[in-house]
Amino acid sequence: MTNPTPSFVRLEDLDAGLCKHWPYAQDVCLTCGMCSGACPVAGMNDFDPRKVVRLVSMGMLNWIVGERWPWICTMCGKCEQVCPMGIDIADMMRAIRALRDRVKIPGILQDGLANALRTGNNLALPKEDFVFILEDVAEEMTEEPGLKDFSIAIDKPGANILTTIHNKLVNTHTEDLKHWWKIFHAAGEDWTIASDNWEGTSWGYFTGDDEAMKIMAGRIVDNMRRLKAKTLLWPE
Amino acid sequence: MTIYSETLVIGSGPCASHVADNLAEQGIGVTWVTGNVTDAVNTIALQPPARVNRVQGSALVGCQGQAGSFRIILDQGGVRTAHGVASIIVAEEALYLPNFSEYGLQASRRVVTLSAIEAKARDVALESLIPPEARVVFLNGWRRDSHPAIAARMLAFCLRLQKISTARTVFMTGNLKVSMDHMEACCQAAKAAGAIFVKFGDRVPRMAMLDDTRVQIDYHDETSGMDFRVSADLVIVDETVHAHPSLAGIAEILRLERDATGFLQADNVHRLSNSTNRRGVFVAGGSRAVAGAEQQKADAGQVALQVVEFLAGRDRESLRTVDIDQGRCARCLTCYRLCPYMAIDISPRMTVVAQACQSCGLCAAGCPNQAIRMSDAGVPEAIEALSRIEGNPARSVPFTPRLAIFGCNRSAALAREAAFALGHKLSAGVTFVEGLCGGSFSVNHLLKAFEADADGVLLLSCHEGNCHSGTGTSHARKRCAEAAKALSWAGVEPQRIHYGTLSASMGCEFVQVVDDFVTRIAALGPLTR
Amino acid sequence: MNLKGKQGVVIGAGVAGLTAAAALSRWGVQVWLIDKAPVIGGHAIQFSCKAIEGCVQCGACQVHERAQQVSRQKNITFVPGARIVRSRGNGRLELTLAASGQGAGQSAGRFPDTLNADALLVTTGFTVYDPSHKPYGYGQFANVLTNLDAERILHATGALARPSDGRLPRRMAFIQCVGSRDHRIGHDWCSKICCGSALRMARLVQSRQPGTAVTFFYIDVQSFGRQFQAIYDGCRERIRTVRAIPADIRKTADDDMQVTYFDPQDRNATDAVFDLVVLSAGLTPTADNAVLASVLGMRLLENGFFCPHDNDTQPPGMFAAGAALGPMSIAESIDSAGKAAFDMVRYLDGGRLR
Repeated sequence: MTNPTPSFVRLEDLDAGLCKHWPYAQDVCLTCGMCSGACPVAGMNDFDPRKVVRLVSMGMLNWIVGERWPWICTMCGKCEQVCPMGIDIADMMRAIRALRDRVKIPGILQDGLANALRTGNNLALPKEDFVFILEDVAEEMTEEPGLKDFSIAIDKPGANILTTIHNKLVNTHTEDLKHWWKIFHAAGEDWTIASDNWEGTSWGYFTGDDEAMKIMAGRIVDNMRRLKAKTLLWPE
Repeated sequence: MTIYSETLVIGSGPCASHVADNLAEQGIGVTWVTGNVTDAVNTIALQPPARVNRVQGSALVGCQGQAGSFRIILDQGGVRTAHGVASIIVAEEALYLPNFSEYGLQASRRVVTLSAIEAKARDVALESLIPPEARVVFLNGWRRDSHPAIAARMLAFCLRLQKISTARTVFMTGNLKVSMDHMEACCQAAKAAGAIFVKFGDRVPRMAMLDDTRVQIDYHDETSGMDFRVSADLVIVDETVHAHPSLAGIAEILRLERDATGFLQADNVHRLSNSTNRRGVFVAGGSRAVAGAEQQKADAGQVALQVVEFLAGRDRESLRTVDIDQGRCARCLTCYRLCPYMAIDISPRMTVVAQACQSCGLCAAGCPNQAIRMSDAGVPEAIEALSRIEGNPARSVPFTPRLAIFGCNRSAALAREAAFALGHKLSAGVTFVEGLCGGSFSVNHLLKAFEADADGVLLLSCHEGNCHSGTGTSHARKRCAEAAKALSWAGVEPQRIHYGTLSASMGCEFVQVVDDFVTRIAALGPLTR
Repeated sequence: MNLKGKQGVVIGAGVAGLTAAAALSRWGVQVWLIDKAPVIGGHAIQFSCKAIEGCVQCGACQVHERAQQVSRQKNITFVPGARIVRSRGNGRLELTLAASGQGAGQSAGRFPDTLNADALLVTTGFTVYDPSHKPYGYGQFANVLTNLDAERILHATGALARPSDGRLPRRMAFIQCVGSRDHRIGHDWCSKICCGSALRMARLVQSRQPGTAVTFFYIDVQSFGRQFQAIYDGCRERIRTVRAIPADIRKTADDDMQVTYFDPQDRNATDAVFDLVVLSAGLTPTADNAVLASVLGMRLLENGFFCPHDNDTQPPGMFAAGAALGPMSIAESIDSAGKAAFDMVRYLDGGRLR
């Protein structure tokens, strides 16, 4: 009886220089494991940030690009924060995502990104519906004590702040609009929302699609120029 | 007694050469003996420094006498000559043994030692030594950790190869040793240049020899949790650092202590930096496990200063005189056997040689006839003082024990001072008797304390392995045990005497030990007579 | 040779300074041993002895012995609570002293305003890294200590108890390399002594407080001393070693520390609860180094430690030794001081000794 041969990766089969030009300093990893300790999804799918850094350093992209884990990564950046060698691990995860065939990225992200490119938001929510939801929630707000005079300004020119909107705020989590609206109101802030291309959640950024990211960012810049707001608030 | 002016330096490498040079520069006559150079020793052909008398291919075969007046015998190719030297410095190289067996390999065209490849790389360009794009694997300390100085050389060579040749390096180690200067930075640079570092825990790689003589290494990479296989064109194996084979013989001839691994210095902080158990005999470089070229050169500097201090008589404050009363001396040789510094001459009469004595008092305490007297030792006087303590607190209510604490001047005395500095106070009725060494207290001293009205006696001495005299603290322990036996024969509780160890930094522990003892003796009550 | 009448100034009265001062004094040099602190001994005099059944060669006792030697030398004057603020001259330096501001409780200014130095040695040692910026709660959680904090507690009380409630810990953690091997903060060095120090401390606590479970979080264990392998192998039987550095510490309701790390065996992020955490904070250059170097005209290395004086890298007559050059153990500091003493005596004698 023979023992089954373990599956080795032969160093000769690898192109160690494959990621040599990647600017994330992955080669100087100390293997301290702090990144993996900080990562909220370390261990899932048998991956962790330290392993990814190692594989990238060895040029083993084929072992990562098709895996689920780079998409489980929340891009929270805690790994980068704790790394003593200053390795840009979150940026590295994005670069790995960018290598995945566009038609092979997780379905929901594909659909959402297509919607965003076509309509200006991930939900393909029509403009009228968007405005209606905002105004509806605003009216609810006025019924609360001390907020009788609350109002929102959509497409207001010359405001101090133009803010983007996370699509969930006009979908499943409309109540969450009220929290930051109250803060703006109490601060007496002069702010507005654009009725077109209002989406702040850039799945171009999230999926490593630089072109898409540029387009979406460009639209938001256009909004800024059009509305002549002083400051862009882009919570992501 | 003749005091000589020459110094003997023993050693076959650069450290000994530096030592000889340093001493000669100060006008000291040096005889430099290079010992029996074996094939395993890594030596470089050295030009002897000017003013130094180098006796090549010779060995020390005999030594009599004491510091300042050693009479040595050298053997050069069968011809023996006698010399008189004032001091001896052993600065032999360490022995670097290739570590093939750790990795299950043998030397071959493709499996070489670090020293071998370093030597070749000094003479020829790296490109001609290593084929282009060669896969070069460094093996550095797996189950047994590497010496940091060896790891430093491995890392430096790995960086050099990775940066200035087309070789593709893999560095395989257990614990990556980066403690020596610049090694962390060296390691980072090697990684940035493309060296692959692989670290193991318990799961070490497996080796196989391929048909074309390349070495196939299968390893588990803990960082990725995956298994890899590499075919090495060249394997560079590290070395382990050992005591030179000549040290055993030298230790016997010179009657020197050795540590557990055979180096010529007890692993005792009191030997720092270059001392041995014998005054006038020093150890440096590879003979005390100092490795690394810079470190050895520095060691050669500091030992030179210590030697010159010794020769100028500046290495200690005063020579305590130790006299052996020839009328009482029975020539039992107990003092000779007890002396950790080999400072006792037996012929023509038993004499303590002042030049070699380091005032530990073991001889005086051990002499069965009390024939040995040390000047200003003060112990008997201190014991007398016990019975003169004012107010007789031992008979007060509640009972405050009258205690004698015998303490050595390096441990207990300093710990006591540290305790006072921390603001602690000792119980009333405690008298401290300071001695030169824990071993300077004889059984008589301990029992006399009880005769002088002590209710309890505590002997505090250095930890095992920390005693300046080496054996003083264990003699103290044995004498306490003997005194305890004597007490019980006399119908006294043997727990009234206790041996404990501590060190100079243990201020609060000193107070705790004393307080505990006070409590225990208080529970036993006053010593009834 | 006549070094009597020569004045030597040693800046820093830690173990290296004490060793060098004693050596110089043996040659008749009048030594001024200056320290900004009000007490002698630097860091090491606050360390506890780590002996268990026998000595483990930690070196702590050597500071006390050397301090006593120095105190008995009539030609060494200890000047506490003082700094050098100015240096003038060539060959024989004229140094101006000022109060360091650390002479709390001491009558201020009881030291000479100026000193002449025929040779000067910097043995200013190190500063322990402040891990407040690391995610371990140092400075906020009472039961997270640095190695230096733990040494001081052990030295002063003989036991290592939890600061929050004085209870003896049952589960301790040591976290290595805090502030060392850290490129982000510019500390591209290993602090050398922390592995040995932590393992010895762990064994000491276990022997005095039996039943204490210890976990040792590390990257690579560094060697310490000639008997390293034997001591390390012995430690591994009694201490759980985990080859990963924790990423986070949170405090529980009982002031216990919940430590999060990636377990290399399970390959999962794991939480473990300890009641006391000791951070092996690294040895860093003293903040004053730059000021002192500038006052004296001495060179620092890029990493902020002093440049060794070999090969004429420092002005003539100026020397540096001990941990001021970089992380060093007590034994190495003693060696370094011994070598500096050799160089200084030769310099003072114009190149000869007799």
